[in-house]
Order: sequence, then structure tokens, then C-alpha cells
Amino acid sequence: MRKFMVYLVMAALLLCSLSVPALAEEKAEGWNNVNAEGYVFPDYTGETLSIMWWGSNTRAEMTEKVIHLWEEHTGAKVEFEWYDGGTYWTQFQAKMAAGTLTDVFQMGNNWLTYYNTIEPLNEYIDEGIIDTTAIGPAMIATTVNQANGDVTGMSNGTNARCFAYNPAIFDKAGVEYPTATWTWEDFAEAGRAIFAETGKPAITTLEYNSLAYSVFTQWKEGYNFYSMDGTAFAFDGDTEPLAYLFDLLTTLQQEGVIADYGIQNEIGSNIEADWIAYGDSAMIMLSSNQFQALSKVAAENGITLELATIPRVSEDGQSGMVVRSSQQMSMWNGSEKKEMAANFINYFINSVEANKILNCERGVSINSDVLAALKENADEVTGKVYTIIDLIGSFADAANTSPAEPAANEEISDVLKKTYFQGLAEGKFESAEEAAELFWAEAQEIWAKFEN
Amino acid sequence: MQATKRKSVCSVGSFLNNDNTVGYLFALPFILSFTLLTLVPMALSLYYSFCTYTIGSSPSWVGIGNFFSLAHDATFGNSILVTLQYVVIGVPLKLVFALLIAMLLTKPTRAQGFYRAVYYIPSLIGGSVAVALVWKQLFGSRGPIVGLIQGLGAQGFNFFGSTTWAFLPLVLCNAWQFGSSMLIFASGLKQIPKDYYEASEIDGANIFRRFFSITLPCLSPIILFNLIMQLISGFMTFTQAQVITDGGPNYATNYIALNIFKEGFSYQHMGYACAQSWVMLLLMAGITGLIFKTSSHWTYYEN
Repeated sequence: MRKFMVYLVMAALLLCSLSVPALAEEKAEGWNNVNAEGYVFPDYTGETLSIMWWGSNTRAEMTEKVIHLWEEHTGAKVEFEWYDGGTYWTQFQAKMAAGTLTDVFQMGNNWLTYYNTIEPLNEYIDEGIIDTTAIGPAMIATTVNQANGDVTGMSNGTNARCFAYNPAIFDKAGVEYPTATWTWEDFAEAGRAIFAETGKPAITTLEYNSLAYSVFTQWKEGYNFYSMDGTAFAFDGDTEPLAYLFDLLTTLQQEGVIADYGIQNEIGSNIEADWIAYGDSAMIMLSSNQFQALSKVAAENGITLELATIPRVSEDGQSGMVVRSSQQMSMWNGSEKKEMAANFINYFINSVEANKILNCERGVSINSDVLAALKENADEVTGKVYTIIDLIGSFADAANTSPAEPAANEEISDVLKKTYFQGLAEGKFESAEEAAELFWAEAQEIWAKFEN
Repeated sequence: MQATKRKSVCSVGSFLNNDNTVGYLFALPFILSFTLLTLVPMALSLYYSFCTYTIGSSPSWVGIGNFFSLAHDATFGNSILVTLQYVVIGVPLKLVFALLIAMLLTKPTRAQGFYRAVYYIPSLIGGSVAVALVWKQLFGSRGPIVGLIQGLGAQGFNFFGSTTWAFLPLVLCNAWQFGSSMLIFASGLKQIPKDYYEASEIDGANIFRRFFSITLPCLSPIILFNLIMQLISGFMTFTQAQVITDGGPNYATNYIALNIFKEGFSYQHMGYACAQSWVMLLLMAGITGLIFKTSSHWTYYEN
């Protein structure tokens, strides 16, 4: 009996030693490149994969087409669901609590909040299942947790917050167009001149929290609202930049140059409803990937829009702008089909065929092959998006990837806007300085709630 | 042996045919769903209200810490105030509206049924997001109503941009859904004996006198019922504020339910949100209790 056991162990060892070289055999780099000629898709006949995302109708139509293509290629069945940006997170949390998240989900820069649901993709990238041969390290870095190197997802594309403007109204008011280094003073001057000319608010949408974060970066080299790893504030408790912005924007709003909060809230995230698309305002702030949808509506009203940078504190100072991941495809760590999910992400991010359909609506593709193919026959509007992203990417301080949004950010940014910006407009604070100091105190209190 | 068997069969049979058994059996679907969907979540939320809890992690006990923080929370205090404003202005407005239309529709005409149905429609669809969106357009900065007001000379006026006026469209949207109160009032009006009116007419009472001396007192139990129901739904108002104003500007329409939702789902303080809902429950119970207590002074029951 004992002898038999020895044989058995030896046989097992032999088998192991035989299979080691097979395991260790390196697959050729780029073996899972879906754009390669003669690429054979894995066969997932009879299997299902689930996916969820947020976005507009347009996005849903495009995404469904891509999903059907992948289903045809692999024989898999994909169950998908999508919501608007607000509902998405409620649904996400309900599924998270019930342990029924989808295998693949769209994730924002708030991934730190949902970190314990996310499967790091490092292993899949190392094995080459998610092919990164055409994706630069800087692009992968946009979705990396700087604290530990985890790849939290693959970016669906990059975007940057910037301004859109209507040159026709600038001409009418006799104001110069924004330049790449225009300042907040130029911004105020242009706004006032346009308001005097049209009698309507010149600016209808501003993202208050991200503007504030930008001004911190512009204020002094080394300042940032949050540190890059999202574990601390990074502006030495200096409330001066915020007071500067509070004062500037509140004054302009009280003069009527910037639309009141009611109008801004009415427009909300529905960019297609913005006054600028109907010729009733001259400037708005937006994310570059929203420009296509906005331009489509504007074109119907005979309006051509252009893109500009965010104004700076001083012409030769920092830009405060950043090219960041717009959103990403992440994998649920509770998924039972991780390899299949990785293959889907690989196709979604890297396939030229798929991205021709998706057309950078989620952001400018991070895959250089895809981008080259898309740029080749880009329409005029999409061309403007590529140009502004290239411009912002060329600013020295924009080389930083976007900081991770700490879990406290949702509350801090909401309070910044509703309690302080809106409270200052209502005269609830003595001065912009007081509002800035009180905000800083409350921001730290909120931060502390998330520490324990 | 056989006797005991028969007896036991008999007892099983009588158990099955027992009125209580049958009653519970028929009520079982309700009891189950009530327990699973109402009782258990309520018990859980009571537990969470004493914890720090984020969805996806395990709750940690903090005692009355949440309630202690609530006492110092200016945003929550403000949300109670604006909710009270909404309820105090909105509920009477809705009831007056409902009573007025119900009285107009008591005259038996052929079109009565049609009109009642038409006025009931807003109650069926009123709570929906679609109606809130319509309301947003109607009262919005580019809508016809603001256009009219601006045309009258109020340059730059905008309901949703004003902390003073933002609540008004929301209250009106609620008052517009008077259908169910109207139907209850209508059936109440039918119960008032005709001879009261005939007698008062002979005595020379005018229409106002008849309304205040006969209709209102006879209707008071119905008014009590409608008041309580509308108060409760008023306190729970959510959809319109979320869709139309998002609680703004500067928290002017940040009603309790909306505040709870934000704390729980946006800010990730689920325990704190649960504590807020329990405070809201106690507040509602207190006010309802107060109304019941005082109702004996102002409701009139015949016989």
C-alpha cells in the first residue's frame, strides 16, 4: 500500500513538472489584440455576462450596438441595463447591498467610494487578456489607485472640463474670443460686455466644485484640492483661493452676468437643454465629451460652438486643468465570470470596430490605434474635442493625472455649492472670506466622518 | 385505536375549518409581505439609526451619537422648517380646493361622473416624475408663467432661483392632486340630510350661513380624515422636490425625505439617514396625535 502511495506521489510530481513549462510559456505580447488580422474571439456560447452603465439615450444606442457585435463574435449573451447619471448610483448601491452587481459596470472617478466592489485588473493586464500594447502608461495611470497601484478599471476615454462659447455673440458684443491663457479678469470682462449687449445671462452653467478645485491648483504651484492619492487635502488650509472665486462668481451672478442657481439647476446635467444651444447665452462650462451632444442641438438652431480652456488666475500661472479619465469599465470582484468580463472590457476599450460606433462619446479613446483610426475621418465637431484635449494635455501642470475622489468628496462638493456658494448669494455670510473659512472648517468635519 | 384515529382526523379537520385558521390563511399573503417589506426593514432601520453604517460594510454601534449630531445639524433643522412650511401652506390649500370642487360637483348632472373622473386624473399621475418634469417646464425660467410675470415688470424673476418663491410651484403641484380628497368630500356631502338645508332655507339662512352652520360641522369628521391623510403624504413629499429643484436653491426646498435620501445614498451616511427618518416619524406621529387630541373640540358627530 505504502509503495503504491509513493508511486502515486511520484506520478503526480512528474505530471506537475511536465505542466510547469506549459504554464510558464509566455504568450506573445499582444496575443489578445482584437484588431489583429485573423483574431479569433473566445467562444462563450451559452454563457451570459451582465453589464450596467449610465448615460444618455444616444450612449445607450451606441453601446447596445457594440454589445450585439460582441455577442455575434463570441456567442455569449449579454444582459445589460442602463440608467441616467442620478439613478445609476442608487441602483448600484442597492445591487451592492444585495450582492447582485453586474459582472462589468461603468464606474466614475468616485471609484474610491466603491473600492471594495472592484476587482483590480492588474493580473488581467499582465496576462494580456486586457491588451495594453496600444495604451500608454500615462493613460492606464488615469484609473490607477496611486496608494497601492491597483488598476481599478479601464478608462472609457479621457476628457477635460473646459468651456464652450458662441463666437457669434462674442462678435456682437465686440469682445475678443477666449485664448488658451485667458484669465478670470478676461472672463468677467467678456461676461459683463455680453450681458450689457444682450440683457440675458452670459454664462448659464458652471461646475462650482470643480472650478474651485481648479482655482486651488492655479493659485500656487504644488496646491491641489485633494492629494493625488485622495487621502488628504493638499492646499495647506489656505482659504484665499476659495474666497477669490466666491467673490468673483457671486458678484457676477448678482449683476446678472451669470445665471441664477434656479436656471442652472433647471439645466442640470441635461446639457442639451442649455441656453447656449438656443443662442440665449454665450458661455458654459462642460466636460469635453458632452460637446458632441451639445453641438448637435446647437446646429439645429444654426449655432456653431467652440471650445476654450478654463480661465486662469494669472496669464503665466498654472492652468488648473487636467486631462482625466471620463469614466471607466470596472469588473465586479464578486463576478463568477472574470475572464469573460476581462475579454469584454478588452473588446470594448480596444476594438477599432466597436469604437467607431462609440465615437468617443464617453471620452477620447486611450488606445492610440483606435484614436488614429477615428481621427482619420473625424467630423468637425469631434475634431474640436481632439484639439482641446491635445491643447490641455500640453500644459505642464496637466501632466498630473486626476486625483482619486475621496469618499467624502460627494458631500464636500455638494456642501460647497449649496451651503457656501448659494448661501453667499443669499447674503448668509458677511464676506467671501468668512464663507471660505467656514467651508474649510466644515470640509474637515466631513472628512473626519469618513475617517472612522 | 380506530376511535383515536378518527378523533385526530376530526381535530385536523376542525383545525382546518376553524374560522381563525381560514382567516389567517387568507391574510397570509399580507402578513408575509407586511413582515418582510415593512416590519423587518423598519426594525433594521431602527437598529442602523444607532450605528455608523455604509451600504456594503457592516454597521458599527455608536449609541445615540447620530441623534446627538442631528440636534446640531443646521441642514436637518432647516429641512424640518421648510417641510413644515410646505405642509402648513400646502395641505389647507389642497383641502379647500378639494372641498370647493366637490361642492360644485354635487349637483346631479349627466356630466358629473365625467368631471369627477377628469378631476381625479391628476391624483393618479401627479406623483410621477413625468408630471414633475412638466411642472418644471411650466414654472421654469423659460416657461409661460415666468414669462407672464416678467412681462408684468418683474425683470429677471424666476421661481426656482429664489429662496422665497421656489416652494410655491411645488405646493401648487401638490394642491393640484386634490382628486382623492375630493371624492371623499363628495361622498361626505351626500350624507348630509337634505332637510337641514330645507329647514334653514325656510328660516332665511343665506348660502354662506348654510355652509358654515350646516355643511362644515356635518363634514368635520371627513375633514379630520382628509387632513390626517394629506398631512402624512405632505410630510413625505419627495419626487417633485428632487426632480424640479433638487432641494435648492440654498436648501429652500430641501424637504426631510429628500435630505434623508441624500444623506443615505449620496453621502453614504445610511445610519445617520435612518436616525433622521425616525425623527421624522416621531414628528409626524406627534403632530397627528395632537390633531386627534384636539379633534373632539372641532369635529361634530351626529347622534
